[in-house]
Amino acid sequence: MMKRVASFMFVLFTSVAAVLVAAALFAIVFFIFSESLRAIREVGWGLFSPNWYPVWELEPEFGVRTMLLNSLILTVWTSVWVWIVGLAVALYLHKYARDREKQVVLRILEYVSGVPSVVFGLFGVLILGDLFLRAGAWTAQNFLNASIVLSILTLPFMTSLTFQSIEKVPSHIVDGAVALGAKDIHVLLVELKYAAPGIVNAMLSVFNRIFGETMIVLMVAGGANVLVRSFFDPIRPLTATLGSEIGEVAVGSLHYSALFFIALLVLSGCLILNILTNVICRRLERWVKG
Amino acid sequence: MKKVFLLVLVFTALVVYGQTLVIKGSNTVYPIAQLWVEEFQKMYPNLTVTLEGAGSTTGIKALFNETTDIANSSRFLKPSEIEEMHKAGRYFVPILVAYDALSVIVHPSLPIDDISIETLKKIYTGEITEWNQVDPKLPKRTIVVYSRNTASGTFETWVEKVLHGAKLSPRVQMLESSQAEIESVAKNPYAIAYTGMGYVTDKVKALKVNGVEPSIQNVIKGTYPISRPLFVFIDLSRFNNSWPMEGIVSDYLRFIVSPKGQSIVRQAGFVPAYGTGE
Repeated sequence: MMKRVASFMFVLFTSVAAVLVAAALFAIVFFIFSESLRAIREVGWGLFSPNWYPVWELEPEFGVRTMLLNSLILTVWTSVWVWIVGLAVALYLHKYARDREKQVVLRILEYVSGVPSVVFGLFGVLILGDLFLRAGAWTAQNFLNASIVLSILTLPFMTSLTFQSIEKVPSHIVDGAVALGAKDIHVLLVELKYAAPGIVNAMLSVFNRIFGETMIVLMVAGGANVLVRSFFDPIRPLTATLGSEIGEVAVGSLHYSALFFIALLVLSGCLILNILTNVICRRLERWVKG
Repeated sequence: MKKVFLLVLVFTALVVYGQTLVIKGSNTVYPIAQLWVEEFQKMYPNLTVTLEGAGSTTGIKALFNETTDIANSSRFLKPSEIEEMHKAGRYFVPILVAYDALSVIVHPSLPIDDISIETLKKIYTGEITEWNQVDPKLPKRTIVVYSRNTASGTFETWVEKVLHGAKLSPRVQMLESSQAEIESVAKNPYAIAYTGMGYVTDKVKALKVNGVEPSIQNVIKGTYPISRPLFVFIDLSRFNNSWPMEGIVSDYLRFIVSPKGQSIVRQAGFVPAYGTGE
């Protein structure tokens, strides 16, 4: 009897928790959407104009285009580097590193991935910023600074996820390839193909992480709302504006609503990417098995 | 009998412990008010204080609705508010508590000591982008322009007193704190920024504006151009249209203009309106 009650309680507890989490997610999406409705209705397509002047009493402007483009450019540029370097490091660890080396590197990556992003931000402001000025950049906080700090943040993530999915490739696959007389490089390709779903998952997670990262871009990206033209231009991505202004804005004002529109953009970007990740990974799994 | 006893108990409990003070308004004044409240509560341990910093307009609205005892404001009443006040038969009085005065800061090595409001406006609206356009003797280098983010009261003062409502150039870099501004200017020899007077350290150089040095004396004299008074408003109609001589509101007002309260103003990075006893 007791056992049945206990198991019933457990089922009840877990299912309620699951329902609550799902409900919370929907509630958040709904809340953000309903708060941004006012901006969508009153500003309309003006939301995609280039200038963001939220607190000017005469002709305020709520354009997110520059910020959106900067966000995307920064994310794509940084992601590509993180992908390439992360994959290279993972392959090295898998293929050529000795056991001891492997352990040390993995341990370091583990520690680095536990560091909060604000610490990296501080590093960017204090150390990288100084180096940039010494190297002759006209401002310490800029696109490249943000990009470097973001790659430091996400590289461990990319590397360890990729490494894990390559390590998970069953040995009979490799053995089979070797038995068929494949050269090293071809064996590697076979392994990569087998690990593809995991790797793509890692890549898209990195992209997502960079797109949504707030603290670092707030601290080191520079905060100027100009479209990036050189590596040393200061920029202000979407998340930086949101993080900077939401704390002090009058609740219910048009500015408030426009900030929620930014939140909606970031959220839908991340959601779409997540769905895309799922779809792509499932396709890839089928392709690998088929 | 029991009921009466209970009632008396509840009543005394309310009188002894239930004293509350509600303060709403400006977020420029908020950091000062936070320190005031902290210190004031040490003197009145049973007092509950709620402090909100949603904006001057919100504070004055709350005075109308009687949802606050004290309204902090970084501006005087607007004509529309005065009219509304008269119609409602109310009487809001301002108490000048501090000045929000801004220093214009550059790197100590930059050979410039004085700058005019017009030049500042040109720099911040992007009409001028290089230092030799300010003064031919200065190097031909890009001006790195820093500003506080739009959420800050410092920024509002700047837009009002320097930009006269014009829009900032998008090239201006928005920083999150006065500390970040000081750090950035201290490191970059071609940077310019503005910050509350109290934050200036010797790592940066504060410029004269229109020939007037940024000092507490010049702010109080009214000769330094980038400053504005900060107020605290109370509603006299709640005190029979006379100045409250006792009660918690009165004690609080006395405290904030006292030397102790005024040195807190200074501590928060603003210019005290009265003597700090130093």
